[in-house]
Amino acid sequence: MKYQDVFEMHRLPTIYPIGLPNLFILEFFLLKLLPALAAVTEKICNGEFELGKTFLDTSSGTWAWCLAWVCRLLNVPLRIVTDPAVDSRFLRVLEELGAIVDIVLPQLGEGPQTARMRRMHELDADGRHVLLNQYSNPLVALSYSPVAELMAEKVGEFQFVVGAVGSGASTAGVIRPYRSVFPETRLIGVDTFGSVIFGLPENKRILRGLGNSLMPGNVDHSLYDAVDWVDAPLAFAATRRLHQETGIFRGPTTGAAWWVARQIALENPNSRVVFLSADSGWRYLDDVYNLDWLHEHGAYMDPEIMPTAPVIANHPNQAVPPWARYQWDRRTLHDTMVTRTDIDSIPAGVAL
Amino acid sequence: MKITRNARAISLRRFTHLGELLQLAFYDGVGEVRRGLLTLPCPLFYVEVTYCPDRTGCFHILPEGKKKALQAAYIVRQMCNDRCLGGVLTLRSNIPPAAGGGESTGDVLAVVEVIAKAIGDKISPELAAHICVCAEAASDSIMFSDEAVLFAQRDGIILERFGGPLPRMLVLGLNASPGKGVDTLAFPPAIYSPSEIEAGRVLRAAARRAVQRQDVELLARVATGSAKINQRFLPNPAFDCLNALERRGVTLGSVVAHSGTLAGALFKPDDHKSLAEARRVLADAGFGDFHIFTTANHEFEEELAA
Repeated sequence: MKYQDVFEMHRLPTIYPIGLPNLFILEFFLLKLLPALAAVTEKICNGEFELGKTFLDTSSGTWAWCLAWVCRLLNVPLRIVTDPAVDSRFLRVLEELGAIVDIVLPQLGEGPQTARMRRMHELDADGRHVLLNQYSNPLVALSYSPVAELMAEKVGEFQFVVGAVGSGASTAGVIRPYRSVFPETRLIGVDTFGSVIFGLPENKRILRGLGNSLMPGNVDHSLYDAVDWVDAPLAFAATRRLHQETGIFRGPTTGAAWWVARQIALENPNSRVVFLSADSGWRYLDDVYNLDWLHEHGAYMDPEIMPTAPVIANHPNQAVPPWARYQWDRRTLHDTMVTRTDIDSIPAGVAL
Repeated sequence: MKITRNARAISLRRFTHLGELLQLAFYDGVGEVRRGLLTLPCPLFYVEVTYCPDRTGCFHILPEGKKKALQAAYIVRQMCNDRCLGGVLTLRSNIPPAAGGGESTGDVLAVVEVIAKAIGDKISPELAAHICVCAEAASDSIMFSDEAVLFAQRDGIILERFGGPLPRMLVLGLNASPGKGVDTLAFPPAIYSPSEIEAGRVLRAAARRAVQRQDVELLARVATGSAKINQRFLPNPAFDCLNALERRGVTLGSVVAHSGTLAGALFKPDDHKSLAEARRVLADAGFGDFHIFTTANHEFEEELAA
């Protein structure tokens, strides 16, 4: 591969302590470069992709960016299906990299995600596209193992790994191989209100990049020890606070994960905590880093009143903003939602 | 040096191992997946060989039936380009047969080294590894005695030098089902799943860190992780008991022979108290045939008085 070195320099995160001696950041240039490389090269190597075909997937974030980058350097065509909410400046990045961008307007009674899926199926049916399937391709999760390798080599044992969950691939892809040496390490998934991943009802979300309106196939609920739901105002305030406290300028999923990880690190001074940081803050200057926008969208939180501990929920349906935690205890979604309806039997206020 | 008609008999002892601290499939330098292992050397198990060289051009080996070792002798002869080289090789070993204690590689390596010694040659571990793989298809890595290495046992090459010897540790070895060994070559090689191969990256990185920092606890966790994966292919009857001891904090981790019935518990070098406790529990569970030793930077090759 001609541009192997470019990816070699960017595919892995840097890891360093941030703010507290026991709190580490896994700072990615772009989180999804590893899976984008793996998914595209797999389809080229196994012959599924042939000349005349176009790679296809749906995304409005880093997955689209990473695919566009990888496909550009491998000189293969890419079509990205996205919705009108996508930032027009970000579109230019994709188009500069040669991706064909398909903006799908929802039809009557259709959500944006359903519209995207409908368009994907239409395109997939014509036989000229190769679907990359971010949400269900098992290779996407498998591709993160070099991150776990890096953690084991550079630091050794972490007692807590904290990561935002959107497709479920990065947290699962890191913790599965990591637990082959450190089976006790606790995985804390960070989700947001209105996301269905951990059993909450679907609702409008303005915090993007984590959570999902549909259940991604790659989510393996039984890997998570706890789930934290963080709402948009808190995540945005945390993102700005991280910037102001440390100069580390990152996107809102990083802010959410940092705030959760920081609290765990403070409460467990003898444990090492690491959190995943997906992308830089540049894409969010007009919203997350813009006070006017925050106020207009009711997404502003006064830094003075940021909660320093989550509300412990005894069941996902008791999770309330701005920040709730549920002890998932590595169970399946079904076990959590259906079997454990007898919520009185669960002790209240379980410590993490 | 040429062997003369009256050359005297020469002997050496080759120590082997008690299973593998890590065995899985790993990525090599170009991204190919290769089987590899990190062996746990054991100063209790050994093969002794006595070589009476002659100029008949034929090798005889005792006990008969050690075909791999015999083949190795001929490979060495060919490499020396000395058609007349021959002699009688007598092998003795105290390793439980087919238990995964490296008897087969021990035989082969002892033969290779004793012939090299007889002709006044020193054979490098890399070349010895190559000959072992030629003679027996899959070889252990006992020839690399000074340094912990990740060894591709079917390719005869080093995948990674971990940059130092193994940390010192105390080992309680046992043979989980004495008399019921495993024929390494008849036993089909494990087919690892993609997620197991990815886990191998972390196990390998942790092993590297453990060697570089001489961290026994971390190395013991690597051993347990590897043993857990191996349970799917060749379950060791003692593993559950060993695992329970680890969870109780009595042991630091568990090691198994990935192609045999040997297993062991790992401790800090001076923790004889925990070892005694583990031994008691294992004995109560019906296990015996214990082998207790400390790993150290042994000189694994020891000359015997001829």
